Amino acid sequence: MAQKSQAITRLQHSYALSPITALTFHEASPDRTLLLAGEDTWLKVYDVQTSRLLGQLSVFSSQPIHGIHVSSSSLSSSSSSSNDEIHVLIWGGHSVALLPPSSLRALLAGQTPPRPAESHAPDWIYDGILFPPSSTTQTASNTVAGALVTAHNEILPFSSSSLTTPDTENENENKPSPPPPLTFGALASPSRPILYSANLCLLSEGVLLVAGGTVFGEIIVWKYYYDADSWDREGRVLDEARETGFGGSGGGNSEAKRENEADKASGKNIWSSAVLNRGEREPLVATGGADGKIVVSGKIGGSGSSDTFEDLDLSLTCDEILQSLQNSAQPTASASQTKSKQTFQRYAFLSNTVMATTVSGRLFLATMGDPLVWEEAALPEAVVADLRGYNVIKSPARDTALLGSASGKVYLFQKGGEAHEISNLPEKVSDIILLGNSPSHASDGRPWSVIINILGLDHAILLHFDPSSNTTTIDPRKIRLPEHYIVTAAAFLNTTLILGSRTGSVTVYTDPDSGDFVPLTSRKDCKTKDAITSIVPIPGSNASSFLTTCRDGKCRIYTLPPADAPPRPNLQHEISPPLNTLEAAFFTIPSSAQGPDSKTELILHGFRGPNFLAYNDSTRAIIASISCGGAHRPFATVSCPHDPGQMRFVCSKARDLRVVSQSGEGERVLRSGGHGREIKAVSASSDGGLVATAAEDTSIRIWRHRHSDSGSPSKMDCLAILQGHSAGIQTLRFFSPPATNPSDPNAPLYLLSSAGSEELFLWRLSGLPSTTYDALAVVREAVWDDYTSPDRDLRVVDFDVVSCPATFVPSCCPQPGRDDEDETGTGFEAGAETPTAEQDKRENETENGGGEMLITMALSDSSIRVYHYSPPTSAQRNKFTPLAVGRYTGACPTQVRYLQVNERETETETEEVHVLTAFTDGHVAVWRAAPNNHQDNNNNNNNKHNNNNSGGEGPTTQLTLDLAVRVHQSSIKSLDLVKTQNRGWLVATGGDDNALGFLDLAWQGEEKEKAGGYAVRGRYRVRDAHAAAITGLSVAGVGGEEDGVTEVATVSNDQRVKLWRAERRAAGGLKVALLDNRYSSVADAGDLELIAPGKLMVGGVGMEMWDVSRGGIEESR
Amino acid sequence: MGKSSKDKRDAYYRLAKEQGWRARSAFKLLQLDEEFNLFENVTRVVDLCAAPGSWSQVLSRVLIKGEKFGRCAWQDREAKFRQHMLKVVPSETAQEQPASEEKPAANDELKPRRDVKIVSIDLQPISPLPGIITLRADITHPATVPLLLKALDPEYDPDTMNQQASQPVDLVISDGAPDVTGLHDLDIYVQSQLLFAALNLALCVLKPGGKFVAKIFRGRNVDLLYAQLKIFFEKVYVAKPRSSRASSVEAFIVCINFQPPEGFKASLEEPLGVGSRLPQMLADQNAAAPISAPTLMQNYESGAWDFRPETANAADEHGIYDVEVEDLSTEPRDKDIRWIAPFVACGDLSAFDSDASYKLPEDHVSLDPVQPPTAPPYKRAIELRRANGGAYGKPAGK
Repeated sequence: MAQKSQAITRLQHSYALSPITALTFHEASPDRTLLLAGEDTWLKVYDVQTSRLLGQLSVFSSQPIHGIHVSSSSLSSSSSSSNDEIHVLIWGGHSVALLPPSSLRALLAGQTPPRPAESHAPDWIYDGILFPPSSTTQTASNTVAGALVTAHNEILPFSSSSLTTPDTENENENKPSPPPPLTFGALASPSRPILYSANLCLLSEGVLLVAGGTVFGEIIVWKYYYDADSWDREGRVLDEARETGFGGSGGGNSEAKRENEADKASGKNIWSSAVLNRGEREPLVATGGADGKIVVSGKIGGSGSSDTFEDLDLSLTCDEILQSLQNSAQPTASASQTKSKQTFQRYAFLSNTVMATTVSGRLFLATMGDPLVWEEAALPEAVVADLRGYNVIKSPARDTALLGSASGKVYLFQKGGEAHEISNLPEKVSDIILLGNSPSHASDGRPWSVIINILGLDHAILLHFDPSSNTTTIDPRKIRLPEHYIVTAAAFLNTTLILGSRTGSVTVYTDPDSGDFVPLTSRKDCKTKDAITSIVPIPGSNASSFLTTCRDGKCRIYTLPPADAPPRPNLQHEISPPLNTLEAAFFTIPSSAQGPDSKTELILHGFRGPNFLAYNDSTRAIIASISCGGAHRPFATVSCPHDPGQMRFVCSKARDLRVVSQSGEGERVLRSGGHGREIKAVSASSDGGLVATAAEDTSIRIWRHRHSDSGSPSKMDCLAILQGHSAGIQTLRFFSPPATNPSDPNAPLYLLSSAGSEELFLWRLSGLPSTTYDALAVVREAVWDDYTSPDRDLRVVDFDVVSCPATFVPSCCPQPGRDDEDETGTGFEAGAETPTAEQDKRENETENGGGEMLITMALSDSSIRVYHYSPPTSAQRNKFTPLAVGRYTGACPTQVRYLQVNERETETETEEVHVLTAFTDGHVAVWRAAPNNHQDNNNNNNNKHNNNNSGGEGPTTQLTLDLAVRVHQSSIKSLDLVKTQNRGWLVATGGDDNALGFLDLAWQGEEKEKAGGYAVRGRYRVRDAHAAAITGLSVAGVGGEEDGVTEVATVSNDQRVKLWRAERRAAGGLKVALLDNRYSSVADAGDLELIAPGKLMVGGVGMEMWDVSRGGIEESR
Repeated sequence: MGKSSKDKRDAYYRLAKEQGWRARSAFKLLQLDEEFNLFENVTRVVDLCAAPGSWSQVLSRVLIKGEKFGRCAWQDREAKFRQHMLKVVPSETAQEQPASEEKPAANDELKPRRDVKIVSIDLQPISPLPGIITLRADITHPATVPLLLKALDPEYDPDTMNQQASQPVDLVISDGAPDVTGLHDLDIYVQSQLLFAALNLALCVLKPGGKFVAKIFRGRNVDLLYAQLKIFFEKVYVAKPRSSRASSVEAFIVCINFQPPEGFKASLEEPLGVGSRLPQMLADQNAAAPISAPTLMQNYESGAWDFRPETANAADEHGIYDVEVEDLSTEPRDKDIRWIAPFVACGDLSAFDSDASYKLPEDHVSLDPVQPPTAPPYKRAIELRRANGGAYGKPAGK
């Protein structure tokens, strides 16, 4: 055989997101706090003030970092020691390394220092400490000594004897020499029972306190005395291990299972934490999670400019406020007798003033500041009486408030002035709705408008304020309301009025030049009767899109159709942020001072549990979490639109008034993380720009993948988090319909996801028509609902999707009318339609938008099912029609892929679908079905075995088994295939049996008997391809000129990524070479995908990316 | 998940209840036995980490009562039927069918063995089982050795401080797993420590030629463990019974023919798994072994030495060709000695699939578990969770 000289393809690491397993603070200087983080094998140094990553270093070759200790300069706070003497001790598993001062300096300067020597301790290490240089005995100053505590409750002393000179003379030395390995002392008694956690603390010079947690839930505390001079000889345990009772029943490992309140939603574990005590100020607390996120909470020294909001957190009773009024000797003599009757009713922020009304109709104001100085607005007795018992207040402009009363009167209050009655309406003012959605008040002197809702009236009132004349006018155009419609939110998109109702409807109005506002079209997407709480135009969308928040916890974005189309707004986006109810939303306005990188971000306000939350949906950071007792209470907020971290909040809590103000976010995200649990599926859009990951935490994340061409690190930005699955997700696949207009950037893109509980969802992705707000819009278009078991407890293990050929579309359509009734229960479809819109859709049906899909799914009951899906634009909207069913032996399927979907081209041909499946019994099987040949197939023999499992009542064909061959001993956990010449496929499989399998499969057409269309040319196995199950496999490349060469990448639970070359030999057989074999940071890998040419992604516990570099590019290590 | 739903999702959970096993893991041991004949000529057994006692129950019923369990204990008749119908299994297996149509074991004549000695150890209490000595002890603790030796041999005198059994056992089994934290590194380490604890005890009580079976997590560095176990046994396999979920990292290490290295003396004072004793033994053994080329480097066609080995030419009984791999990778190897134990799937193809969902007859009655956990370590966690309002905390806004 000819020797082909070819460059060997290698793997090059280009991106990783891993759990944060170690954190420690280091105060480099009084005004510079560093956070050192261990992420997999990497040490990363962050500047806490700027949230910037300063430098990083891969410390160990294949061992995650479990702990970091920074040497304190000295116990006896000698300020003379500078950073130059800081050593960093790092450990993980058995590995220990000591970073010399020069390495930390290099990291701070953004350089990569040499990798330190990796020493191997004789046991697993839980904690480590460096001894301060002894103050009494001047030992050899170039010796660094310390101690480690092992998993068997032993102290392991160590020293590093020959570090470079501690003085800073070597500043000009360009290349610091790599530090030498450590010298360990002996283990005294290695046979103690194992610990689950242990910590060290230096009590005083020569005394270590050791605490360990046992498997029984006990905590063992003991002391270890050492002599700085000669630990190796005289180190001894004086206090014998003593079991203490405190906290003994706490139930296991102290470092695990602590949930951060902020991340409860994703159920992730916090693996690392650090606390920095700062004397008077609140401590900084850093947490690192299983999701790779690093959060620092506690106020970080801000700009301190006078413009910023103050930091304040107060709870006041009404009596306390009245008391303060009396103390300031204001003429409110009548105050004392109303004691305990006074409770607060409503609140508003008049910019820098907080305003509160009481049940008795009184009005209190305080300018924000510490302390709050309250004053009472002098209102005429008649006004107080009118506001007594019921009132509403809203602040439409700076220092301005509108008050509404039960008698229908509306008052205008301007700070420093009085309350004027501006309107007298026939019935109770049920609400005043602000138009314009700024989180704070724009500058003075702008006109404003509000909508006033009157109880029982068939219309709402539009009120305008003209600052030039300081007068209000009622718009003569009435806002006509549908029956029983209570307005809860409103906005104008240019001149188009949009209203939201108390029961969740969104209504678009006509744009009258004269006459009344008349409702044009209405839709309701909220499944419950929850109020729309705000409507916000999308900035930069040219008034074509708007966002709504709803008390059902969902945030939706609608797009208005072009002027000539029917006016029904199109639901483009629907997400569930981690809040239970949503109360308000606004978009930030980046100021030029924040630099060119600042973007328009979406801020949401709402409640979760007992807290009020301000949440940045763009960065997924919690801006504020204020304990207030839960939703359903009067409250008011004001935020800085340039800096949403600055905000104020006032509400009632029990009988108290609670005021909170903050100058900045309560927490800062230094590294935004990923999934809280193992990633099970990875998929990429056909252009490689979008990557989706799905995990055991039931969420799906969509990422934008960016990379420059050659070997530069990849960047992953999370664009969206999709919630909705109730079980662990099994498979994800993107689907691009054959575009009617390929150049259209807004062509629809679908993501399909499957999970346990018989869930298969279709998500429609699109870009928002906005020039400033950059976000991906996602809406769940359909839910597969042809459930096959009464308890819906099967898993949709895998599925494949292709565009459905026209001849596959089922000829016998179910009655559309009946469908609609069936579907109302699911509530995921477009909601109530007006007849006109329905009519329009019917007319559009001939112009197929390309969303017709052929979906073949594998279920855990050993069945394979083929469905046709019609999109909402077709006649049978959102309908899944069963086409064919097949059932295997009882073994659970694990993989399904299309081999061929043959369209009928002539009358004599039959359209057929050919599917390849893999199973837990190690077999690969090929199935065939002719979906529209019901008459022929329904009578064949196989069908009688099928009568107990066809879930859908529709006419289905039998999928017939064409071929089933064994490739592995047990479960096939991963599979990919590549089409070869002569209608053949090379199927690569990864097994639970550690083996890599290859199946050379050929389609022999119809020459043979119909049952024998597929033939196996050969089956090959690489035994022990990995040391554990191969859980991810992807074809990484196909040899161009040399046909028959396929490169396959595999990943396994043994945490290795391997690249293989399989070459079909002319004489028959397969030649396999291992091209690369690398450590993977991803434990429990669930999937491996080629997300773009030459870009492999591994998902599991975290995720990572590998470049497949051709042409023999060797990575410099 | 309700009982009935779990019956469908987990065929072995249902079978265990129907056949009176304390836990579904009984089938793992039965399927391991079917493949490796673990109980052949075995009378003296130590079961480590035994609670709730399903493996001890297997020992009790097989060794003491003399029951026999075959494939029919876990065979899915429908699967077998469908395999033949779909021609998934080759036809010669079909001829075996009458042979595998065994009668239920209970109807067979019982063949109890003589001089059976079974000792079961766990941290948790184990409900009594006929003929089995149960000990509540920590297998990682040195004091457990004299306890175990005394239980095995009533004449043992703990004062001798002897750590070797005078009457050694034929088989040591361990199905122990730690409470996992979710931090994979730590979980794998703790599991390996549990395995070493079992091995350390086994080395004290196992007779030459004896067998050792233990649970293992197939994760990172599992090949280091395989290599270390291979020091003491002639054959080491990693086995996955069909009753163990494919989605789980769990597998079983099956070590056959105990051959302690010359001069080796087991001692819990100097246990394996900590320190450098085991790596040193492995390095010594490796250094003493003859050096052999990893693959055959002679080219069959040219007869010359060639670095591109050809595929082996024989297909196995399933028609699969094993391929020798040419290693072109450049990643520097660590100094650790690694070895991958051969993988063996246990339980034939017609066994129920632990990953599949099964349709149950309309009149299916879900049985209660045979032996609810006596004192599970998570008991307090469940109580705390209940007190806090269920698995997902208190409902919002309440």
